Amino acid sequence: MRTRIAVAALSLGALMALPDEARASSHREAPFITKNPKVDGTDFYMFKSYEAGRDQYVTLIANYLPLQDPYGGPNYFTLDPEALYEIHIDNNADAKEDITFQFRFQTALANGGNGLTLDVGTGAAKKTVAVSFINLGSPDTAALNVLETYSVKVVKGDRRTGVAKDVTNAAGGATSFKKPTDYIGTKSYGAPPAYATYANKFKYNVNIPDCATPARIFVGQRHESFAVNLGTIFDLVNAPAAVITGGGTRAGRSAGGAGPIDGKNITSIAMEVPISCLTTGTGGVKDIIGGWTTASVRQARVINPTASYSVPSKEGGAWTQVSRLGMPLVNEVVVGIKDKDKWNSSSPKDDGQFADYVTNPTLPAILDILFGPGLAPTVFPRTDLVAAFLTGVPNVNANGSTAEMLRLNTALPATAKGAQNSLGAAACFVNGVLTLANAGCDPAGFPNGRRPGDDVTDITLRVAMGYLFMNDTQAPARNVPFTDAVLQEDSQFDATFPYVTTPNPGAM
Amino acid sequence: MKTLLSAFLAAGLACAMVACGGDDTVGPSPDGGGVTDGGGRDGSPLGDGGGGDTGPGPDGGGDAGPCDFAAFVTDLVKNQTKDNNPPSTDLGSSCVDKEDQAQFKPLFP
Repeated sequence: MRTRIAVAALSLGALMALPDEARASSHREAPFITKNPKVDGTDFYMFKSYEAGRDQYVTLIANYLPLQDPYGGPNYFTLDPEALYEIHIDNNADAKEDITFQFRFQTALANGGNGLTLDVGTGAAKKTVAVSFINLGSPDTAALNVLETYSVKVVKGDRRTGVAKDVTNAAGGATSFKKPTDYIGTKSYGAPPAYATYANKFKYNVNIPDCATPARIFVGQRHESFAVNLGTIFDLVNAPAAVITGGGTRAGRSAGGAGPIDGKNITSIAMEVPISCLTTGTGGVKDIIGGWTTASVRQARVINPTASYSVPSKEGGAWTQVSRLGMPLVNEVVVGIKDKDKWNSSSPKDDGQFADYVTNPTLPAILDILFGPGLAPTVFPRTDLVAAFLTGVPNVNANGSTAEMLRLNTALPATAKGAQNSLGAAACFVNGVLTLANAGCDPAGFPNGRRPGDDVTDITLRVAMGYLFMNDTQAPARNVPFTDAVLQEDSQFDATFPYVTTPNPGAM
Repeated sequence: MKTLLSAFLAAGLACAMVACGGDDTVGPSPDGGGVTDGGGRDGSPLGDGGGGDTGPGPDGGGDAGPCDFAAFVTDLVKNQTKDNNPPSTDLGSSCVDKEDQAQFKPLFP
């Protein structure tokens, strides 16, 4: 069995090393999206708020623009003003959006569109010249050269034909919100606590039409919230097998040596919405919502041959979806390369076209080809994966629909920071049977929604290799505690909205 | 695939008949279906009833082939105000690209 475990561990790493796109939850996971990083959705979180006193809210976080090097000046990482970023909620189990939050971004130069200037030279030789830096002092002042703002709409029903209404600032009714400038560095912002203070000013209480209780929103750069041990994995699993199979200590996300993603930033679109404004009622399946994020761009783009800041190109046509993300890792290690772009352009209601990837998954089969036989589950179709990825888990978050999205049972209580199990609701299963009394069972975690601290990589690997099966005949490696050897847990995140943390500075 | 092929053939035929002129419909889909108005289709993606504004090219000729790619793209761009439109499934494969930047000048006044 020891040999078998070791082989399984090696095959895990080898598998993850196969496609370059499989670097993280959904970072650059499909060929076409690698050309469009600003609209590349990387992670989607949906969970019952665990901030004290907020248990009647659901937090939604959509991460975009992957693998940001914090030093990426002078432009840093604005979102695409020609794109439509959306968070969708299905609250009646038909795999179609019933509520959509739409985010549009704008960037503008200071000084009436001319940007900050300096007088250079003296006397008759003096000229007023636009500067190349994004700031000439603290970005919290008029010394900011580029201002990024956004607006939010809510659409009930179909995202394109439903009526869109403005989400407004609860203090004054404005429809435009400011986005904090990225963490340029400590000279501009001060140490991380100072940046945190700055960024906190961009959390807004907002009014959502037809929702009696205010919600909260925040959009801004954050520390990359996903963790994976890239260096080790891509170096032919350059770690002892005992570590990969869960027998060793997992490196912390910020403990050093945890991989390059830990030094990256991401841009988060975060909302906290009253549960009552997302569900159709209470009791049974009415408590269960599905969620996913998408990004769309105009179908046509013409490059301006004499580009300007305001018109580098002309874009138009119908919104055309280029990114989709609900459950983590699906488009990375489940969907075949030939269909990854199709996946990003698709909708949950049409997921029947991808069913073979779930019922007959290639991930365990590849492990068997490379290092088997005898590792992969032997039962097909894989109804265990259908439950985990397409229908929700019976008696937890299944609601009758069959489609890939995050599903959250809002009736289950949140688990406070410090008490969460990074294996989430997966820890509630013993020999494939839902056992709520199991030690460590945390039904508020993935796959019942997803919190930032849920270790979805480890959960997904274990489930793919048969963790939900009842006996070793069905799944010989079902109890191998597969892990990518990177710790992801609640301690790495804040205890308050938006939970995702202060970004890495661009310079120290 | 058969549907897609038929769509392209229909687009090419329609363009040949009307030299990629405009229509009053909302989407560039050439199949006459799946768009919102059910109106007549001529294979053009025009959404503003125009098309002569960019024309088939600066040479003023209509001899670019069955469909002019610049007109096709320009008309897609002009469709931007109709947010409820579905994307076109016609990617202009039947169009001929003159590779002439000047054709897009009207987009950058």
